[in-house]
Amino acid sequence: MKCTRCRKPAEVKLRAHNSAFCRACYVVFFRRRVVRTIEKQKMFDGDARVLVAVSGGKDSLALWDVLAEEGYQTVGFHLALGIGAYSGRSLEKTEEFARARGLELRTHTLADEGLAVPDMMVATNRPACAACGTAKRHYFDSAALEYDCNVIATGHNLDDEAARLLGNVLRWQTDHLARQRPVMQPTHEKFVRKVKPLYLTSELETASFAFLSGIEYVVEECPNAAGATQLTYKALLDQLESTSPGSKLSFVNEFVTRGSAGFLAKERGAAPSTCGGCGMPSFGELCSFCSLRAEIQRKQASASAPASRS
Amino acid sequence: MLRGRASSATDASFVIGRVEIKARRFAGGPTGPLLPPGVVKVVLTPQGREFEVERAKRVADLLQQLDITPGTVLVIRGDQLLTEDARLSTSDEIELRSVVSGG
Repeated sequence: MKCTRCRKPAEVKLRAHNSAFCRACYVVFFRRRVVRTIEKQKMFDGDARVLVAVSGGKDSLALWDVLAEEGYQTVGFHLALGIGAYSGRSLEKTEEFARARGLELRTHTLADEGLAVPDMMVATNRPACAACGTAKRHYFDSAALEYDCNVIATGHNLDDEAARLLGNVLRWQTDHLARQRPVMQPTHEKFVRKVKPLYLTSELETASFAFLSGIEYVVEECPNAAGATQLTYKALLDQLESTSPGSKLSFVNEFVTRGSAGFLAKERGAAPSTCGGCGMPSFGELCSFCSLRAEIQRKQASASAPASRS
Repeated sequence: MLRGRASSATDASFVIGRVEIKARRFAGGPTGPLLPPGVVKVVLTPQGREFEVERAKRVADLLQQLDITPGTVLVIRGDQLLTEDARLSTSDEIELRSVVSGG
């Protein structure tokens, strides 16, 4: 197979784009595609200071690499989740990446507050991903304020968005569909814009870019992801994609272009007030994270209290 | 059962069942292990599982035999990515690296 651009031997074949690329042309193609998405969706411009949420996986490191190489001002932010050796390796890969490129990296460790994801899971008796997601949203928002960033960029890719969209459509979760957009505008002065510059690039594309660019990333998956519903949706969509290339791209792209506006109009609700715990935006007295933290502290306190005598 | 296509570069032969296998030495030169022709060593990451796959002339054959949906793995040989039409040879050691993430 030859490169569609230069006719050298191809290393990447993208059926959804009916194209194949050699190493050099693919790296150019990928970078241009990400930059074009940022510009077309008006995610941010060259003056923005972008907080890149980096996990140490292929998507977030590929995103950070492109943004830094294209001259955007970036601050990497890594939340150490405390999920055993997996989290240790994730931090290690992230730090190596930042050090090798001279990029600014900030980290926060959940275990320092007694809130490592396994501890939160035990204390709340709920799936790890629920507490993990709540903590991530809180710390990404807080970090953007703390490090003076006006945009948060995450590495959500086309497969993530397609799987999420399928799940939302299967249950017609209109409130979730209203929030599924590549650009989320802030609804409070302490929020900043959130963007997903990789929402049109597939996992195969980001993994290929990371490999061909020499990015060392954590290949293993979060142990808590095993059996997750989103992985079932991804497998179904992969089957569909193999017989009908481009399905995922059109599913997500057409939703964003033509479908999401209708849901957004119906779901516009009240603007958030201020959390009594952390001062961040909240829809109740306490924000989701402070409520979670209070619940965990309560349960941990009662578990460690000596049993009362009758 | 092991099966293999006779190769002009064979340097050993053996019989498994009723099938005569003409084999050549696997990577490592004259002291390397013997494998039948058309057998490719595969490691699946991040699971770390290893396979020896027979009669996989091309990457597409390999994925089909392992029942892996194309596009869900990187196919890596050394420092190169392979496309589905890439030819494989007996000395190949292939990494199939999952690209699927998230939960």
